This record gives sequence, C-alpha cells and structure tokens, in this order.
Amino acid sequence: MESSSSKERSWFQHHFASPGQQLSAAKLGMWLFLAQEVLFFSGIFVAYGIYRTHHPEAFSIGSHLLDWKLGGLNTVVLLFSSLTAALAVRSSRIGDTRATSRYLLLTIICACIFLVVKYFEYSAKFSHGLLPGKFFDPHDAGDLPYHVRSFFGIYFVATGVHGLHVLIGIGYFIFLLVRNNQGRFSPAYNTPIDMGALYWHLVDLIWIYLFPLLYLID
Amino acid sequence: MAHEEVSVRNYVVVFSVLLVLTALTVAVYQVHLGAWNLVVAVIIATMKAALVVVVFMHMAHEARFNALVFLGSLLFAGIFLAYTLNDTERRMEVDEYHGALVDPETGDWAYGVAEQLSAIADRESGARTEEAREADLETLEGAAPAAGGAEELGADEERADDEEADAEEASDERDDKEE
Repeated sequence: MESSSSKERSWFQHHFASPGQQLSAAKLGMWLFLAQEVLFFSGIFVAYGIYRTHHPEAFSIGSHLLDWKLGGLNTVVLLFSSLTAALAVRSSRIGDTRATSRYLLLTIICACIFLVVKYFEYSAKFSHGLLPGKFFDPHDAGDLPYHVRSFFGIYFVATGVHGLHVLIGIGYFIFLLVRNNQGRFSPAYNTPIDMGALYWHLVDLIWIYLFPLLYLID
Repeated sequence: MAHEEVSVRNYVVVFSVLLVLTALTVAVYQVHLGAWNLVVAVIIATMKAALVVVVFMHMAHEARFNALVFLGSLLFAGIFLAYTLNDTERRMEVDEYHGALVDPETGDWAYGVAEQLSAIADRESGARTEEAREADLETLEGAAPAAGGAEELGADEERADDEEADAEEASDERDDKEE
C-alpha cells in the first residue's frame, strides 16, 4: 500500500467530480469505442454475406481448403484468454495483485499462441498460392471456381484485421502487466484493466462469429 | 459497482459452457444440414456471444445506457446487412408496381433508369448539351413511375433493345474473365 494519500489518489483526475464519475465516463467511452468496433467489422460481415449468397459453392470449396482443426484450436485458446482476462479484472477488484499479474500473463501467452497458430495457417495458404483476389494462384488444388479467390479475399481481410486487434491487445496487456507490477492498481482504481478486458472480450466475440462463418461452411 | 464479485467457479462454468457450444458448432458442421448449417452456426455463435457479453463483460451490472449503446451498434449492423442483401438479392426481379425492370444483366430499366435513358437519348441525337440532359431528367422525374409505368416500358422497348446488345457484350466479357 502507498504511504502518502496523494500518491494513492494520483489516478484521480481533477476535472471529475468524483472517482465514480470518472469510472462511468471511462466506461461510456469504452462502450462507444466497442460499438464503433462492431460497426467497423460489420463491413466485413456484410461483404461476406453478399459474396456468400452470390457464390455459395465457391465459399463451400474455399472453406474446405481451410483447416477447421486449427481454427477450432484458436477458438478454444481465445475463449480461455477471455476467461483469464475476466479473472484478471476480478483479482484486481479484490486487490489480489499477484493473481492479477498471473492472469494478465496467461492472457498474453494465449494471445501469442493464437498468433503463432495463425502464422502457420497463413504460411500454409501462401505456399499453396491461396491468396486474395488477383494474387490467387493455386498450384495444386485442381480446378477451382473463379470466386474462391473472393472467399480468400474476405478470409484474409477478416482474419488479418482481427489478428491486428490481437496484436494491439498483446501490446496493451503487456502495458497493464508492467503497471500492475508497479502497484498502480488497487480495488479503488483498476479501470485500465477493466477496459482492456472489455476490448479483449470484443476481439473474442468477433472470432466467435468468424470461426463458423469461415471454417465451417457445409 | 457495489455488486458482489462473480466467483471464480462461475467464470469457469461459463467458460466450460462456451467450450461445449464450440464443440456443438463443430458437431453440427459434421452432420450435413444444407441451408440450415448457416442458421444453426449463427444461432450457436450468438448464444456464445451473449454469454461473453453478459458474464465476462458484466453487461448484467452495466449502466443501462452503455448496454443501449452496444446493442444499438448491433441493431445498426443488422440494418446494414439486411438492407444491403435486400438490394443485391433482388436486382434480377421485376418491380411491377413501379413498372421498372430491376435487371442490370439485360440493361433495360435497371436501377438508375434516368441516367440510362439520358445516355440512350444522347446516342440518338448525337452530342447534346448538359442543359438538355438536365431538362430531360426533369421531364423524366415529372412523368415518373405512377400508373403509366407499364405503357412507358413498351414505348421504350426499341431503345432498350440497343441497350440489351451492349449489356450482352458486357456480360460476355464478364464470362471470359471468369474462365
């Protein structure tokens, strides 16, 4: 615990009337940001919807060229990281700094595993020439319908943008871990962890939809 | 904020349910359901999403307004999807009420009827001034859909034929590309 009370409340910004008001402002801002994220990803989902209804067979073939086992593994990894992120928030709220650090670290490790799996998936697709749009050049997949390249275009944009979110999440969680080890968070103030976890759950949410839509087309 | 913390056990239970639902999605994929495949997959994904939002993201204890902000974004994403699909999926259909053929493949009276007719008129009378084109558009808007739509269609049939030839060429080109 901090000795001087001014240090203890250094997180409190003078333009807020109370810590409670500061927290609700942060939360509102965060939910607005998450709403923006939903709308941002909605463009990709709408593109997916249009192309899939127009070229169902190309999407089915494209989907079968992906490895659903790796996609499933990543789903489990990301769900687990969401659990650890939620537990990190919980521990910081009850003041268990060591547990918080542990959960933050677990979340970071899971996010890294996710990206490593993604790396292997991407390199397999690259080596088979399964690239988006005009770069599409499958050497050994036989005769594919024209719009399989559209499927891969959407696949790479969707998972690429999602992967970028994972990367940003890793950066932010490392920042949280460092700050937590410095003893900056307490039951009275853990907003950054709370907000970081909200962001992380959203990244998980997007993947919950991407997994069946990309990997599991009948 | 004054609510009780969710116990670690409850979080783990929710996580287990999420795993079960993931396994269920994969199981459904193995049983071929045809068109229902997508519907079932989206329903399961939405159940998982709901669990994450309500428990992990503490939506249950969140200020109502914040919940409204988030659910509002989902609503607008839905509107985006529904209206866009409603447009792209109906372009081959005939809108009899307005007497407009909504068919870009054959080229006649598709969306943007006004621009098309004006372009046809351009070809018939050689180069024309911008003012003349705008005047045309105005007449067109004045005479627009209403009841006479069907007759107007007949009158424009010969013009439309020209367009049809063009459109055929265009679609041939498209086919070539696909090969």
